[in-house]
Amino acid sequence: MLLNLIKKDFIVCRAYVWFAALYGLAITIFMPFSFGPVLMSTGMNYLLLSTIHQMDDRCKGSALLGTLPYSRKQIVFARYCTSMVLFAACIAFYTVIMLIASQFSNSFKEIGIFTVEGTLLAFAVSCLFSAIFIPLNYRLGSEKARYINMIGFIGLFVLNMSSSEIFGSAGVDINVYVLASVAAAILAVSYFVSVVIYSKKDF
Amino acid sequence: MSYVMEIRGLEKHYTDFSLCNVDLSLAEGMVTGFIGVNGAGKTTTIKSALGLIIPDAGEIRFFGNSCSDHNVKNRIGVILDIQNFYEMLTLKEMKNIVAKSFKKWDERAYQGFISRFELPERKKIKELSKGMRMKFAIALALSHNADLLIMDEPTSGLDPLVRAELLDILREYMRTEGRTVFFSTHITSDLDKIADYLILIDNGRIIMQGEKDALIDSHGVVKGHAGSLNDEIKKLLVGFRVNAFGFSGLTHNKAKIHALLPDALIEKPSIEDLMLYYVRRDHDAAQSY
Repeated sequence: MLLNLIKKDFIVCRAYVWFAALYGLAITIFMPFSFGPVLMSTGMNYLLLSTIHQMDDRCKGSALLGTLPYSRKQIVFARYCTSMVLFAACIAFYTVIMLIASQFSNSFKEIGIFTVEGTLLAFAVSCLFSAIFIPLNYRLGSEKARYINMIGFIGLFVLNMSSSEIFGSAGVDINVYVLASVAAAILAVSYFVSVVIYSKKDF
Repeated sequence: MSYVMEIRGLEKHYTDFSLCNVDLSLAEGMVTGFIGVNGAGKTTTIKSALGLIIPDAGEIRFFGNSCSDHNVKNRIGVILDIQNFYEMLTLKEMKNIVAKSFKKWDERAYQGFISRFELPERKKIKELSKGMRMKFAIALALSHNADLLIMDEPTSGLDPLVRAELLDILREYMRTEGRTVFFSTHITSDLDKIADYLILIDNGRIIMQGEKDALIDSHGVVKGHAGSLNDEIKKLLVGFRVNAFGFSGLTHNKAKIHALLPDALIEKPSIEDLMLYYVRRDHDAAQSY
């Protein structure tokens, strides 16, 4: 049942997967630095999750799902699972691109094809992004939330770009394990917030 | 008598409209017509029953179980007025999403509908006509062995041929024992042919309900000279209209009218007559209040 809802999300946004993949490819190739997985996963997550929410709103998908034997809690949970599956797919895609790119250029080898730290940092940022993005979309609807999301995404992009300098100059040594755990906890809290918002919605 | 759906004290308040203390029950094995003019509260009632709208008060039960048990929807087929499909998907993709949601999906029955309606499974939903979309909605709603079929304005905007086809399908559906249909519409001619029970809603309140034949038999449309329309006659009418040729009105006391106006013509009312006169009376009462 849950798998069916996640699959539905992917089918609904599949027309935009190529566009998201193109973005991911461009980020990895033209901006090869250690924050690549963060930029890529957050960007692709944003593009595809916002498409899913837009399609749901445009086609009144929530009303359709409401007539099927799903609880509202299950529908919300599936959306969070979708965001995590998207993250995993992004990281896999990033690794494949890096693997291919490193055959042609040493600069990609230097960054490292797959690093636990980079992946955990990307996971933390993706969690934080979804933790804000999903309840905001449930609360405001995809149209209203789109502009706020866009600002948030650009802010995240700028932060990602300059984070090495910020953290470096401040001498902050980020423990990515702690960061990832805290982000996962925030995502869990966000899920309960979304359930409350979605449970009160009329379709 | 067992009820497949029971609504007690349903209330939903908006700034410009309210559902007020709606009570209704659907008896098993019957086709219940839920009638009312546009904006009367039909869709709000149905959506509240299905949990698509969160009511402010009231209790809703399906097959004796609370509607909060989402598993009960395995026994319900739903066709809403706006067909909420993902338009960019093909029929087959949409079907796969719906089919995997139900415990008892009957692929054979679905394929039967697909070939009967000549639905192109590889076509995108957005490429279908309104009639074809309705047929697709019927195919989805009737392919999981639902015991209760809930339809909100299914015939609205459809040509007479598709409407007749839909009624044929409903008759076939009702051949299996224990099945129930709840059919909301403002096109009452469809219900003349198929409904067993009628519920009339107006301004968010149920203003009349009963078995269709009993309601039609107990009421009459009176036609007489305008001059004979005195206060005593008016009291016996649910509502009336006066024009250049005389008056016409609906009564639920045919015998007394006949005794007082032996020359008046008393005809069998249609469902539309019942709806229009009761709704007009309700509006007049609301205005005088």
